[in-house]
Amino acid sequence: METNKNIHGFKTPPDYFESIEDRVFDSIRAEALPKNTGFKVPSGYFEQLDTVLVERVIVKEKETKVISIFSRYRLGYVAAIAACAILLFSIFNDKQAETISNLDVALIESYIEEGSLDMDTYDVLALFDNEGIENLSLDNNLIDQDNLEDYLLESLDESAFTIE
Amino acid sequence: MSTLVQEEELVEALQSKQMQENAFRELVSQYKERLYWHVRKMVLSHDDADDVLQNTFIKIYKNIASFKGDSKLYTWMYRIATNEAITFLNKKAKRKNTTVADVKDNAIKNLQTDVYFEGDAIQLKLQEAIATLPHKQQLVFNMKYFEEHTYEELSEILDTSVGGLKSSYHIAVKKITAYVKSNETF
Repeated sequence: METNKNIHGFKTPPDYFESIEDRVFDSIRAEALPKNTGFKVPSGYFEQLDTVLVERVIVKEKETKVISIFSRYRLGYVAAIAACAILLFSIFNDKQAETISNLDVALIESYIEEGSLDMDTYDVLALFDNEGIENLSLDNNLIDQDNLEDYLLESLDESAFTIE
Repeated sequence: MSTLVQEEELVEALQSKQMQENAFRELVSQYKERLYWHVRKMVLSHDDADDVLQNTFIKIYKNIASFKGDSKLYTWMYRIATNEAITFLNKKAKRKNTTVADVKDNAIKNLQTDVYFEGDAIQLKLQEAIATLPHKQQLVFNMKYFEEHTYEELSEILDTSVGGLKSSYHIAVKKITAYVKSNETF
């Protein structure tokens, strides 16, 4: 028991003494466990990794910048033009034409979920510049609030928020 | 581990067009092994770890311009690697129309015939035990037990309080030792 007679001035982190038993027992228990995982890598893997990665990342990046005939931006324009063409066709055609609303939502969902639309948050962000992101505002009427809430509860991957 | 000054210099070089390529080579050489082993313990197979590691470095390269230094480069990269591994497991589960837990169970079963796993029976048992933990406890256990991160580093990487991490680790060790003991056949 610490007396107040000679105060040394040291202090401990909060809950230090409350959790010390747990930590001591953790160490004792863990001593019985193996220290290594047993995983290994193919020989020369790490030595070659530098070259492989630099090739894949930098060279590809450069190639993408040079060969930009059909970049994502252009792809966006082409998609927009195609969408307009479908829309005009559906307006001026007497017969009931295929419109975006006639498309099977489940089909679109499975297309995305199967990874055919291989874009993640970073890829989507790359389509916008800073100004674009700031100006981006969603029409509140576009998505039903209840559906949105259900979707977020079911599908939100909180790990996505751990990136800075 | 690099010092703060070295890290700042590396970030500066990575964000400069002229020095980017060399800086990236340096970054890969400094962090490839640590990030690989971090990812490998999450996805278990070498081929999957290789895929995730490559994607991680691609993300790092593409997003380094937006790195503002609010956290350490090292923790920022660990977060990207962790997210990439989680995304990879989720995609694999979706593709196979199953759960991430099933994907991991399968990966554990495959370890017995994996040429890149040289663990003995108890190491295999340890992997099985880890796979029974909830995802966050798996991460905390692997990073604390094998990688020997401090709780402060873990707190920054996993965005969880030090107290929360300590209790996660404590529960994980307890469950793992209990699992290993109850399944002792060697």
